[in-house]
Amino acid sequence: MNTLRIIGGIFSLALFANESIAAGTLAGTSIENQATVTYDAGAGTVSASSGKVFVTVQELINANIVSQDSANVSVSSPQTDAYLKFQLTNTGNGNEAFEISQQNLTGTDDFDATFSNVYLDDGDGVFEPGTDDVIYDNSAAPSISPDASIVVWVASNIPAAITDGDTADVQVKALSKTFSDDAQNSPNAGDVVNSQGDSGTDAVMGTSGANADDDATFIVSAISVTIDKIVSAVRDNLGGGTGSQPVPGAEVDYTLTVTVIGTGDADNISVSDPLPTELKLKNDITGVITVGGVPETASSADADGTSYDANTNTITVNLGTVTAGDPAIAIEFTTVIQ
Amino acid sequence: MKTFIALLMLIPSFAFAQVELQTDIFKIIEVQQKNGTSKIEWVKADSIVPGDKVGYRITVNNKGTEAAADIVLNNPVPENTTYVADSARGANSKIEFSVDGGKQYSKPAQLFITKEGKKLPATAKDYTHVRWTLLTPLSAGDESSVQYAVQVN
Repeated sequence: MNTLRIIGGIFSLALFANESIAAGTLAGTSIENQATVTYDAGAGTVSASSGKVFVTVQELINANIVSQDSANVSVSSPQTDAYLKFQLTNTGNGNEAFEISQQNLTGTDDFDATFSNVYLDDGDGVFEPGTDDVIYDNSAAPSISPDASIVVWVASNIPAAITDGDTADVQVKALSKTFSDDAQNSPNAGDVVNSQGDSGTDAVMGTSGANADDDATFIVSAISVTIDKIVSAVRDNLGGGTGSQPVPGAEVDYTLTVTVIGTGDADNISVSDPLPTELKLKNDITGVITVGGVPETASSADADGTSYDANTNTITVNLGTVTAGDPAIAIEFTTVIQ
Repeated sequence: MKTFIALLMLIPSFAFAQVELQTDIFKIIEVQQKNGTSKIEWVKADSIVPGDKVGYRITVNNKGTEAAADIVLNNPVPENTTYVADSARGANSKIEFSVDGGKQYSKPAQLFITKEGKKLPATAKDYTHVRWTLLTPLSAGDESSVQYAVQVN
């Protein structure tokens, strides 16, 4: 039962307008039945009716909680507040609140995360510090309308000195508040809390029982990005054209090598190389910067993520996301000694 | 005068077939047996929730003094429920169903619905009414019953 608190108001209108919801006939609905009979006792057809019989649909308590992280969640060691995303759906036929708990699973993982808090998402499904900072309070858990869902962020702290690639399995569970308030913390299907359902009906535990839960996994992802820079060739273009004296006017080829090691993805990698004043990129902004074997123009006007800023004399290459273990990426360009 | 009163009192008793109808409601449960099988039982209709099966038993009782012929029992499938396929029973009766709110009745195989312009065989979830036509008259003092089951949506 549990009165609508946070989101109930939004859904309650739709709730009465929609008769064919997946959760089933709403708790408190009266199912009425009356039979009729016609017969002939020799003086024509006579009809009669039975008395009406009623049965009131009780509140079925059911929930479904599902991890929204499609893969292991990469974390650092140590890390404060690493988040797991879960969606909790009320699959019962009445308004119900659920207590959310978390436990570390043992057996196939390597370490245990330390539970911190559960946060209630503001409705957009994206974690925003400062906005999604409402701690999910089990004692005042929000009532969820039948078929409606909420998203929660389960935050844990990752201990220090965990080996790269180690995992922590976490199970998150939703327990009916009606049953919890009745001290039934491990209810089975068919268990009842009398008169505590919507409209004074009984709350009847459905198949989810005490097992509305799902798992998610943290993986410690020690990722590091290294850049090596070498001079790959010098051409002074004097004499027979085979000289390699670094004199003014000589061309110097550089190769930067970007390597990502560890586990997981390195996002938004941007390589910046401010050139010394003695060097300029050959052909200025119409020059060429080769990234991973693909020649890109040095112009900042295009969207290739590769540019040369003549004012700051800096080369910038945006590599985006690189997965640890991917082949090293070479960035090659030619400069001219001033 | 006395004769007249006596006559009046006699008239109803000549053709007095007062048929009474009673509907009883049950919860249908499956009880696991010790030997591993399960048994269907009709019990008190407590704690009905969506998905539960509810059984209705309609008892027709001839409390009159004459036999009642051409007895036709009719029961709409209640709102928020769905008829359970093959659940209607009734001794010595012809059982038919309606898919149009009780206008027409037929055997299951002859029932059709129209969906997106196509004529499709009706299924149990399309039934709106169940009708039992008793094939034999019900003698005075006798009773008979029919039943069917629905699932709560």
